[in-house]
Formats: sequence, structure tokens, C-alpha cells
Amino acid sequence: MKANKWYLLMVLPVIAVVAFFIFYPLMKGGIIAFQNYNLFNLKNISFTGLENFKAIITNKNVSFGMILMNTIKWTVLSLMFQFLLGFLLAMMLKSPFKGRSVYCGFVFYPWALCGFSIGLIWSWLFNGQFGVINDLLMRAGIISENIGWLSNPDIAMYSVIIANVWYGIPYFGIMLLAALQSVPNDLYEAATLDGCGSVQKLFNVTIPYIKPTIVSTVLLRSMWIVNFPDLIYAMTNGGPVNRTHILGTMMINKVYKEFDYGQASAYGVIIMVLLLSYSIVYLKLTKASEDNML
Amino acid sequence: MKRLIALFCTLVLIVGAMPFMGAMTEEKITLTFVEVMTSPERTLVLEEAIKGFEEKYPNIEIELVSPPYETAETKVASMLAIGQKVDIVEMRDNSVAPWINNGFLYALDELVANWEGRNDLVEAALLAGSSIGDATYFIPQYLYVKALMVRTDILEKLGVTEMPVTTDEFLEVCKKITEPDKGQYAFALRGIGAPCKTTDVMWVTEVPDISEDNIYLTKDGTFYMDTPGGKKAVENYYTLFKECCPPDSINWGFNEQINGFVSGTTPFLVQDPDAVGNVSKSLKPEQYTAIPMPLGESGKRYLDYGYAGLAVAANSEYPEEAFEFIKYMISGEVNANICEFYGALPVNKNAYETSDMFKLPVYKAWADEMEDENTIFTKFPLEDPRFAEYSSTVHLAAIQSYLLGETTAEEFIKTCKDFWGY
Repeated sequence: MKANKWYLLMVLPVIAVVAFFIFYPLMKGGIIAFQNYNLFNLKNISFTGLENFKAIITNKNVSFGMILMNTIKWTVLSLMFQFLLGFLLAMMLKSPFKGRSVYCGFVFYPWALCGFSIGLIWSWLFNGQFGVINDLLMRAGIISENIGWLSNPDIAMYSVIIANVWYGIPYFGIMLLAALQSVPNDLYEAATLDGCGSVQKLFNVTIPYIKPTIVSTVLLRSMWIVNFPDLIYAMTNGGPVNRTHILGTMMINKVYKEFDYGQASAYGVIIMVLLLSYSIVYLKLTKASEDNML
Repeated sequence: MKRLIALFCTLVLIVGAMPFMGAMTEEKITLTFVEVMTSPERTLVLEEAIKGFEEKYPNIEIELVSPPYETAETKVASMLAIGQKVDIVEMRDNSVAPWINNGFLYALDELVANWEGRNDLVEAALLAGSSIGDATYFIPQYLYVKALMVRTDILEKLGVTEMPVTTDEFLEVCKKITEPDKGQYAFALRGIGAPCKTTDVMWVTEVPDISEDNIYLTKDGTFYMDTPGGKKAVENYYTLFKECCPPDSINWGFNEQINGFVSGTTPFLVQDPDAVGNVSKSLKPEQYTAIPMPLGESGKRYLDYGYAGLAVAANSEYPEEAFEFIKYMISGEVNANICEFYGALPVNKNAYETSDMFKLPVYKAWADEMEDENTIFTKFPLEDPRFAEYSSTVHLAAIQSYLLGETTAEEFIKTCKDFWGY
């Protein structure tokens, strides 16, 4: 009993810090979502019920449906290509070769950069007039006139996704490489003896063995991507014509451009509810498939 | 015993003399000054100015607080809201209205009335200072007024020697010099970052009798885009974008505009004088100049006066001392030094006499504009909470949609008009 009290005392500072820096802002943000909290009029803050949510969903100048679809497109496509290319990278780096550590340093470098600076770099790469990408494609004869990568509303979202994929590949590369290196060689030897080819080994040995890592990394990464507006903010600011706006960038806009903390918090609550629901469903499905395999 | 008495008398003398000691060594007060347009270079310039002030007023110490640029205004709002010790705040036109509305700033009318130096300020500065709220809540330190910057060397190469004076001439020159196949365009469009602050200034010149209190309305209360002149301006802008601007400029902000101008791709640029500082890093003075904004059918040029300045916090314990600091920062030489770094126009008339930089030909356009009888100062409705949403979201998306051909001019005008409810 005495030992339990002592342990509680030891973790109390950590609980206090977490409560102060995570739970309190979460709670406060949740409360503000139901208030008319606008920097223009801080003297008249009051509860307005669901008005902020209603204003967001029924805004005729910015379609909420479009913002939601943009968020899903941004997340799904970024995640898919980051995972596939990251997995490919991990498979290539699994076997030792000369200069591997130096090569690893280069390919994992994007992960060290902050989203905003990546956005600035890629916005110049994609620049329609002076960008390197258009220049290289023109010289290679692939295009005959400049492409408006960030100015064409139909392709701007795919341009920012490309930048995001470049950024996220190292994450999956690092995590999956560590998981691949933990797969015992005995399993591969046994599979070889059973007459399995490379593809069969991949699907019957490698992937099942590293599945827990895949499940957790995909879950984490998808949540991070939803909450990653920095890159879009730096590259397109949500344009053109709101075609690259996601829930996160709208939230930033509401705070820094419109000073409307109430609606910004409402966006935050919507993001939180969506991610919570997604996590619950995702974990249930992955656990169900694990149970089926057993 | 004698020693005790002597000690007691000494103590009485010391305690008795203390008030007089306090009077002889004057109490030093510390004023907290928060800047919002923070950059390492700019902070050095401010520190230099502060040093000069502290030498002039040895009993006042200025503590400079420099929050990061991106979050500075939010931080200042928080500091003012919770009553943190702040005496002087730097403010910008697009963010000062909430502070005034919430009662965070000290009304300076009484102090300004007794200030002889106010007569040294340019007219636009005096107008700006009392443009929001029911009193004077700030003193502008710099002014931002639009002019048309021109790459004279590029135009000469392209056979243009006469500068456009009217909007029709401007459009014709732009069409003449544009050759997309050679990568030569004419105008550096402002695609993002409150483009309405450029478009409205360019367009209202086609409309007579714009209100001096609200750039969006004529004197009889009509939404300016809803007039024949307004519609013509909107349609001409579409033509300008389609035929004379890089397609990518729909996404151009300040940096891209400067890049286009400096590279010569877009030799015309509508900007504020602080662009000169950026441009001059890459171009020689003889390569460019600035001319007054072209005149439209109304024969008048309506300019808004953007500004940044200084205000006293409402909860300051030393408002008079804080105002002394503001007066010092607005004085001729100090104002000139700070504006030279920033490139924006000084508010003090004497700065134009003492500073070599503001005598340069490129600044003549702004001086000519401000003194031209055809120039009328008006203002954006910055005190209206809806302006933030309009400029950053509604107008931005609507004009991009219009220029990309997704909507018509009528639909664009309707979107803007419906938002304001005019």
C-alpha cells in the first residue's frame, strides 16, 4: 500500500504536465467550439450551442462537403503511396550493401525537415513559370508548355500530395526496415524448403510477421496526415478556389485570417471526432482479421 | 548607552532622509514595448532607436518584446486580454480593429491635442490614426499606399517609351508587350494574400464618387461593382489576366510578384513602397521606377492608406511616458531611419527632407500621388469583423473562380455584393 502511494507520488508530476498541456487545452478547445469566441468582440463571449458547426456545414462560400472530400483524398492517396514506396524502400535496404548507411542518410533526410519548409521548397519546384519540374519536363520533351501544378484547380491537390508522399516515405522506410530486420531467417529457410518463391515468402512470411508494425504505423501516419496542414498552407494556402483546403487548413484560416476561434475550435472538434471514429473502426477491423487468422 | 543613543539617532536620520533620497535619484520606470513585425534585422533597428530614446530620457527604460512574426499579433491580443504588463504595442491596420473593439487600447486624443509634432505628420497619417473607433487609438509609423512599379529597362527593350496614365492605356500597353511563347508577360497579378486590397484599388478608379469612408460604396450607398464602371473594371481585369499575366499568377503572393518583376517576366507591378526594399536587392535604380496608379473613367484615383503604427495599452500605468516614446519614434530622423530599413513611407514630412533614400526618383510616384488633387483617400472597412473573412476567404475564392473561367463577372459581383449585404 505504501509502495503504491509512493508510485502514485512519483507519476503525479507527469500526470500534472500531461493534464495541463494536453487535457486542459483539449477541454478548453471543446468549450470554445460552442461559443461565439471572436477576437473582434471578446467582451461578449457566450454559449451559442451548435451555431459554429452549423455555420461551417452550411457555409455557401466554402463547401463543407468539398473540404471533407479533400481531406479524405489528401489522406488516402498520401498514405497509400507513402506506405507502398516506404515498404519498397525498406525491402531494398534490408540486405546490406556498400554505402548503405550513407544512402540511408540521404533517403531518410526529408523526415528531418519541417512541413512548412518542405512546402516552400516544393512550391518553387512546382512553380509554373520558374519551376525546375516544368523545366526538366520541357527539356525531356515530355511537355510542350508549362503546367500550372499549383494554379490549376484540377491538379493542385495532386501536386501537394506528391510533396507529402516525398516527405512521408522515410517514415515508413525507417519503421518497416526495423520490422523487416526482426523477421527471423529461420522462417525464410523453412519457406524455401517448402518450395516458396519470393512473392509467396513476402505474403506468407514477411507481411504477416510485420503486420503489427504495419497496423500501428498506418494508424499513426494517417492521423498525422489529417493533422498536417503545414505543407498545404505553404504551397497553396488552400487554393486555388479552395480546392486544396482540408479541415486543418480551414482551422488555421479561421484563427489567423478571420480571428474566429469559435469556428476554428469547431473544426478541431470535427477533426477529433472523425479521427476517433476512424481509430475505433480501424482497430476493430485489424483485430478482427487477426482473430480470423488465428 | 551612549553608543545606543548614537546608533538610534543615525537610524532616525537615515529613515528620515529616505524620501529625499528617492526624490534626488529619480525613480526609473520600465515600459514594455511589443513589436509584431518581428525579424532579426528589424529588431536591431528598433533597439538602436530605443537606445536613442533612453539617452534622451534616462529615467525611462524600454523593454522590447519580440514574439515570432507568424504568431505575434495573436500573442499581443492574449497579453492585452489577460492584462499582462504592456505599455506600447505595435499594430497593423488589418489586426488593430479587434484590439480597439475590446477596449485594449488607450484613447490618445487628449495627448495628441497637446502634441505640436502632429502638424509634422502627412495628411494620410492623421486620417489613419482616427479611422477606427470613436477616438485616436494609434499613431501610424509607416504608410503603405499603392503605386504602379515599372521595369523601365524591359519596357524600353520592348519598344514602350510612354508610361500609361489611364487604365485603358495600361491595358493596351500590357497587351502589346505580352508574348507567352517567349515567356514575356506584362502584369504581376496578386493571386493570394488578400488580393482585394489590390483589385479594389485598381477598379474603383472607374467609378465616380467613391465614399471616403468605405471603398466598397459610392457616396449614395451603391456597391461600386454594381455600377457600369465597376463592371467594366471587373471585365477588364479578366482580360488582363487572360491575355497579359502568367497563368500561374492565380497563385502568386508577394514573393512571387517580386520574383516576376525582378526577373522581367512581368514588368508591371502594383505594390506598396515596402516592395522597393526587396526589389532594390536585385535591381539597380535605373532599371525600374514607380508611377502613379492609372486613372479610370472617373478621373480620380482612390487610394487606401495601409499603415502600421504604435499604440498605448489601456492598462498601461504610464500612458504619458508611453506616448513620449511614440512621439520619439515618429520624430523626423527616427521615423526616416526606421522607414529606410522597411521601405514603407514615413509619416513625418521632415523625413522626406532628411532622408536621401526618400528623395530617390522611385519614391517620387508616391509623393506625387499623395499630393495630386485627383487622389482621394478612402479606406477598407477594417473595423467590420466580416472584412477578415471577405479578404482572406470569400473574395479570394470568388476572384480565383472568376479568373479561371468557372464563374461569370455577374456571378462574381453577386457573390461579393451578397456577402456584404449592400
